[in-house]
Order: sequence, then C-alpha cells, then structure tokens
Amino acid sequence: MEKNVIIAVILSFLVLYVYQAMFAPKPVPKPKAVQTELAQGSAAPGAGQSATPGAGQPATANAAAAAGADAAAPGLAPAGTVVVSDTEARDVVIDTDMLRAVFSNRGAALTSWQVKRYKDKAGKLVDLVPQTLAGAAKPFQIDTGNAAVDARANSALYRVDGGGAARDPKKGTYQIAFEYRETNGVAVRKHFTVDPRNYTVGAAITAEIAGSPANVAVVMGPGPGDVETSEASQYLMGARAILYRNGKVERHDSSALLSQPVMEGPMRWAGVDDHYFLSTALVGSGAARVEYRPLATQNSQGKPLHTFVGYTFNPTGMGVDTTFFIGPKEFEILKAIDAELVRSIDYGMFAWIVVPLLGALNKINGYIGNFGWSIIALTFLINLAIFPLRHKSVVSMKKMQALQPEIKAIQDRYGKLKATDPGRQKMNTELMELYKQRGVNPASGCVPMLLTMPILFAFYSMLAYSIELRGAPFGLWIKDLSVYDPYYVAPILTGITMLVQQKMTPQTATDPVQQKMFMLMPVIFTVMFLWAPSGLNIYWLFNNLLAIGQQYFTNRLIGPARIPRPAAERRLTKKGDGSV
Amino acid sequence: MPSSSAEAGSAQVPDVLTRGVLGALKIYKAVVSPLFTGSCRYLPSCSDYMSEAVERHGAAAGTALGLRRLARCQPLGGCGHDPVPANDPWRALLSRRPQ
Repeated sequence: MEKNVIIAVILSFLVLYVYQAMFAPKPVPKPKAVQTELAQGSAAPGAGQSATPGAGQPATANAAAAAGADAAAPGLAPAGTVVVSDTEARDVVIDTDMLRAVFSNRGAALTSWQVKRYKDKAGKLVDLVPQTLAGAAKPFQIDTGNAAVDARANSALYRVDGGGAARDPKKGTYQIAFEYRETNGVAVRKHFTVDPRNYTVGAAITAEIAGSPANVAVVMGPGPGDVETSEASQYLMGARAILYRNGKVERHDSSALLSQPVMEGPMRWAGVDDHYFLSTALVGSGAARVEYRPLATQNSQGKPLHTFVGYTFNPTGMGVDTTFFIGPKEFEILKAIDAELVRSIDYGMFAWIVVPLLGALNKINGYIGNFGWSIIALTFLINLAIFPLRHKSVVSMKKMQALQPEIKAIQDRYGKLKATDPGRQKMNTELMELYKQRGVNPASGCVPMLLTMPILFAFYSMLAYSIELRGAPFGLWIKDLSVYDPYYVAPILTGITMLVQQKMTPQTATDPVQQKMFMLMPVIFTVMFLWAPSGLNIYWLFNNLLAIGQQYFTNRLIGPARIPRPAAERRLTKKGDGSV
Repeated sequence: MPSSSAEAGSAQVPDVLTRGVLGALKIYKAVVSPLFTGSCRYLPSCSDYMSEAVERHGAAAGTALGLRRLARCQPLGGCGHDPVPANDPWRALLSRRPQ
C-alpha cells in the first residue's frame, strides 16, 4: 500500500513537471500590439488621451475652468507666450562603448536608452525605453499636478544649453541642461548627468508655475523595455514594481498594482524591473511617493502579450534631485552603486549561497573568459574543498565491500521477513552494530547530502537570473548556458554519470521498495534536468565525474581494505556458530 | 492525572502542529528522501527518528530532538543504533549523549 502511495506521488510530480516544461512555454504569436491602459487615465500625463472626457458633455467649459483654477493666476491665459525654447526638434545623443542614450528636446525626455553589451534574440541592442508603445509617456517627463502646464511642459521644444551634451573629462560623465519658459511665469529646468559606465542618470528638475516653485514629480514611462521579454514566457518574468523600504525588498506585480498603485514613505530605492533589467530611483535615505501605472499589451485576439509598468516618482521637497539607475542587473555594477541594490536580482531563498557563488564565478571568468569553462573550474574548486570529506566516505565504502559476505549472512537470516515485520528492525540494528564494531560506516550522513540540494538550487538561481550568464555561450551546440540544452546531450550524460555512480556505491537499502526507488532516481533526475539551464547540467555532470574519478582512483590506490576483527566476533566463530 | 498531553500517546488526538510536522516529514520521505537512500549514519534514520520523536513528545520537543540528531549526522558525528528517548525529552536534549 505504501509502495503505491510513493509511486503515485512521484508519478504525479513527473506529470506536473513534464506538463509544465512541455506545454507552458509555447511561443506566442506576435501580431500588432494593442495597448490597454490598465490604470486610470488621469494618472498618465503625456499619454496622449489623458484628459479626454466622454463626448457630448459640456467638457470644454469645465476643463477650462479647472485649468484656470489650477493655474492659480486667473488673469493669465492658460498658455503664455513662450520666451525660452527651441525652434526645431533636436536629439541629444550620448554614445559610448556601453551605452547609447538619446534625449529629445521635445519635453526634455529620454527617448532611447540602449545598453550596448546586451542584445535581444534578433541580435539588436536592448532598448530600455520601449519603442513599440506609441504615445506612451517617456522617462523624465514631469507631473506638477496642473494638467494644462504638464501637457505643454511635456511637449514643448526645450532649449538645450550649448546645443548638446558636455563631457566632463575628469569624471567621465555627460551633462545636459534643458530649459523652457513662458511669459506667464511657467518655467521648467532639467539638468541631467549621465554616467554611461554604471547606467545612472542624475536628474535635477525644477518647475515654476506663475513665478513660484511648484511641486514636481518625475514621470518614468512604461518600462523596462526589454524587447526579449515582450514574448510571454514561462522562464522570463515581465515587468513589476520593486522597491526597498524598511530593510526589505518589496515586489508587486501588475494585478496587485491595480488595487494598490501608490507606495509612500521612507524608501531606499523604488522603481520597476523585469527578469534582467531595472529602472529605479535611488532615493537614499529620504521619503518619496511613488505611483505605479501598469500597462498591458495584448495581441489581436485579446490575449495578454506583455506587461510594462510606468511610475511617477515624487520625492519630498518641491523640485527633484535624484539619481536614477536604468540598466542591466549586473551584480558588480549594482553593488558599486548601493550594496542593497543587489537585492533587486531575484535569487530567492538561497541568495546567500548564490552571491558568493556568482562572485567566485565572475572572478574565475575574469581569467578564463568563458562561463562554461568557468563553471567547470568552480565545480573543480568546490570538489577540492570537499575532497577530505569524500575521501573518508570512499574509504569506508571500500571497507563496506569487504564486509559484504557478513552483511549478506545477516540479511539472509532475516530474508523471509516482510518490510513491515518488527524483526526487520532487528536486522537493521544488527547490521548497524556490525558496522560500528568494525569501524565502518558507508554513509557520510544526512547533513552533507542535504547540503548538496541548496547548492544545486543556488546554481539554478544563479544561471536563471544572472544577466552575466544570459546568452553566455560554452561551445559547440551550447550557445546559452542560461537556457536548456537544445539537444538534451548534457542532461542525458548527467543521467549516465548518476547511474555509474550508483553502480559504484554499495547498496545499503534492504527494503525492496527503497531499492526500486534508488534505481529509478537517475531517470527521474534526468527528466527533471532536461529543461534546466545547460550550465546547471554542466555543473552536475562534472561534479559527478569528479566524484566518480575520486572514488575510482582511491579504490585503485588503497587496494583491499583491512578490517579489524573484534575479539567478541572471534570467540563467537570458535564456538562454531556457523550462521555468522 | 499528570497533564502531560504530549506523552499521553495513542489515546489523544495529536494537535494541529504535530500533525503538520508529521505530514511534512511524510512528504519528505516520499519525495525527497529517496534521492539520498542510504546516506544516513544512524538507525532509525534521521527522518524516521524525527517522526517518532514528534509522535511521542509533541511538535516542539520532537522537532528539537530531530534537529539535534540531524546535526550529529555528518562525518564528524557518531553513528549506529540511536533510538528516540522514551521519556523526558527535554532532559535528553540538554544532556550529553550517553554513547
């Protein structure tokens, strides 16, 4: 009965896993994207259709009255004469080996942010400002709470100081200053400091309405615009809100944001991220109010295609003087900006193992230059560290084999009993006593065994969530260590090594059900590993190979095991107790 | 009657916590444990030991005993026959193992 239960559980796990792996990640057809604004329209200034009331209402009068009241200067026309601006639209381009950023003087906003080290599947540079969303707000537009002013401030042509970006040769940063001014006291100044080496933008923004400073919030358009994740996938997560407050990372997906779009209070950083990219305001120690706007795209059949999340960032004080990070979640870069920013990488519960593991892997890769070989080198180092532990267990395994005749004698004596028989317990006790007397123990214990699991999971998280390993090739047919082996060679080889390892290990399980399970394990493991990142298979494969090698050479070198025969045993044999 | 509910044994229905821990152990033994067959140094094995300890002494003392056993189940620990203490689990926890 118990046997059936176990088999049922394993089978259902298998079915579940195979189903997920085979049917879930179907490629979604890519028809023209239809956008649906999930959040309330009023929260999205500059989104084109912002304040458009229903047809047939006496809207114009109301809107004009509202605008007049908002302007707090009833004598002035809503749109004053422009005094400082530009006559033509121009792009300010910063182009380095790591980044190509384009600011437009229309609204003094960011229109493109291409991270040059990362390409999408089509081989194009990843642009973190989504280019497919027509009419969506662009990063660094503003929200003053006055819709009429915002509409002009986000569409006007700003004057660019010096006509472009000025490079600071000492710091390696680029400065851009935008200005827009009307006669009625509306004035907006934006000063950006772009550091292409760590993907940050310092934004100093002030706004005046009717000559007095206005509270201004930064509108960060929908993002991140990682093109690759615009294909819905089981393995890559879409955009969601992420923020760090009260010493904890909070993640909110778009459905949660619909019911609770506003996050307030002291926070260290707040923004949006997806699987590999992050756009965030680095608040530091201050307080802020962040309002999120999820934006879902659908295909022509109305099926969800991708989710972007925009956010409006409003720090305390009238103006804005905040640095933003818009870039790949590269461990070393994030760490250099803020140690706690590293936690935006979703390594899960074993992050405390993943972090040193990735640190070591990055170091090794600095010498080797190929992450596949680096994984092998790291596996070798891990095995070197546990060499003494394993040596002990290999030696006692050898002794075990020498004891085999005696073990068999005991087993035969109890052989007819069923697994549930209490006499069986007695046999186990007797076996254990035998091992103990001879100083033999085949097992290294539960702790080392259980420890391999977190390390395996940590390897998985590292491979699946580190941008460093995204698209990292190994060689031959393995083009990307972070996704599964397309020909399943690595997992099948891994399964074979498990089988070999098992054949070399003396069987200690006496229960036939357990023995069958034991034999089934390499098969179950192989199936589980079929769709795992190929890097994980490479780790496990070499781990097994090293273990097999160590066992083989130890056995060859130490020769037959010498086992002390205890006095009690000798006396027993002299008495002529043939059954022992 | 001494009101030691944990040691009352079969007559009492185990509380939610106890049943939860036992259930978790059962799942572990069915799904995870077959991966590590024959790795335990002791008898009864660590998971059997913990189940028995929880059954006998309740969730708190039983889990503590089980974790204590697990901590010893590594190459530097002992091995062999190591049954669950029949009574007074907390004292058994604090005392040094007689073996």
